[in-house]
Amino acid sequence: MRKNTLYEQFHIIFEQHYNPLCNYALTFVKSEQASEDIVQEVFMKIWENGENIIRADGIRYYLFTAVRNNSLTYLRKAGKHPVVALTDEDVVEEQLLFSGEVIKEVDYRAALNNAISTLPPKCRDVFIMSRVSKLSYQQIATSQGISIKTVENQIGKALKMLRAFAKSIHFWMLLEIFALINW
Amino acid sequence: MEPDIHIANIIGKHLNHEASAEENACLQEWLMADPVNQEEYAAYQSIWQNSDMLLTNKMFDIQQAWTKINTRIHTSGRIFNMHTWKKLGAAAAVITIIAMVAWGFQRMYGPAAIQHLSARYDNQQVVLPDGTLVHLRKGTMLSYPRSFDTKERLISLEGEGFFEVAARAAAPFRISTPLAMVEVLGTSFFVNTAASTDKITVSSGKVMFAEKNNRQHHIILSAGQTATLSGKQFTEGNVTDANDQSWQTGILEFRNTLLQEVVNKLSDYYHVNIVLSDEVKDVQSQLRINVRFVHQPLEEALEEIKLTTGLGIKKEHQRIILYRP
Repeated sequence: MRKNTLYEQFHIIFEQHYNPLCNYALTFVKSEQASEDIVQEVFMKIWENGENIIRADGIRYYLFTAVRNNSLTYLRKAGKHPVVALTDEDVVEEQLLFSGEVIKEVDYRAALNNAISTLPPKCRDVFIMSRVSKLSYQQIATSQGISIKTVENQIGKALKMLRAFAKSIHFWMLLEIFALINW
Repeated sequence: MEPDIHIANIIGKHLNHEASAEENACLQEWLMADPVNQEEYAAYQSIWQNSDMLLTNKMFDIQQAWTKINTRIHTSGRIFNMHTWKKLGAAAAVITIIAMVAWGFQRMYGPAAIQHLSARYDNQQVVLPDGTLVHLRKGTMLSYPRSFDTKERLISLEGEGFFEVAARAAAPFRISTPLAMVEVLGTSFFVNTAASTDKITVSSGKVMFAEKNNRQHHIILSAGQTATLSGKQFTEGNVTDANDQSWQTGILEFRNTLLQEVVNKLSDYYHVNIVLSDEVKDVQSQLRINVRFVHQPLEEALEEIKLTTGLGIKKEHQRIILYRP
């Protein structure tokens, strides 16, 4: 089979990753325009760097790492505080934020979205990168300069907190149903 | 039972397909220990999948962004540094594709005005000059004019595509396939052309499905209907299996489905050959599968099947075999 030209290869990478990368940047910068600008700059960079990067196996790792770094730089320049540096010691169980909170949203997804945004910042950073980029634990660890064990713990913690949250929604939905019946 | 952080970590690794054999065994043991744990696991899985979709659900304008990038690339001059042999390679490939598909309507538009493309990945999207959106399955070849005729919008397709056709009453939208001519009377539908059969599935609107060399011989399909043309014979039916469109939606859903059927669908979707060993075939009527895959890699899908059936998986001579360990 014919090998793609560099330009074609670049176009394929662009088509496959543009949307997830913009969504990823959006989780940091909260502005669609800024997200697109950041991602487009990253693509210009890889085009300028040429063959070695475009044909590399780790292109996805490179793209997500670059978008994360540039998003954090953008926030720093805008005077907003990005995620605090994560150290390996920082894996102490934090108390569950959600217990006893009254949740009105009945839409599970809207509620889950809300729950993800209220995860502790470091935990959220690791969890979101994992879900959007589909990178391996090792790649996420290298990308964020943390240990693989920390990635494992943070993702486990995120899952556990989100699960507790999902249960509390269920609980409150049941309560509302009981309230209706009693009424 | 509330799983401790240890189990949550293992579930995370398992869902990311990174758990070691030891961790998978530990997970399996936990799952088998109590049916409640299986529900708990399903809840985790749902969180995992829903997070995926939630975090990437915003659609950015890829087309517009590419136009911008493309302009910047071409003004930066790099594209012209391409080696000459690469340029020659590209030209030769285009000619091959023209030779293969464009015979039908080159007369009509002239060769220079036709755009040819071959989808390089599943669900590649193309916007035609009239605004019609086409989703193509990997390997599908599509040819269309750079600008449409005023009386007819004619394109050619080999492979599998989902069409959302722009309304334009004065110029009917026609798709020429190796066997058939499909004319769109309304909006969205699937076309699947295989070696000896063509299959159309209509999601909305109306479509006329005609034999290529004898257009008088045709049928009209409405939303929810599907038909195949094999030889000169049309077979009509109603759409019952949403998994037929899984290459476009990325969703495979099985409800109380026989294992053999699940395995056939997975083979088709992932372009692999999955088979049941003889002793599994004998008992497979007792194995019914309930599972939903959303954009999952093959390894993960197999892992789920393994977990829910207790079967083993091995690879032999390009085949993936499900067996009873």
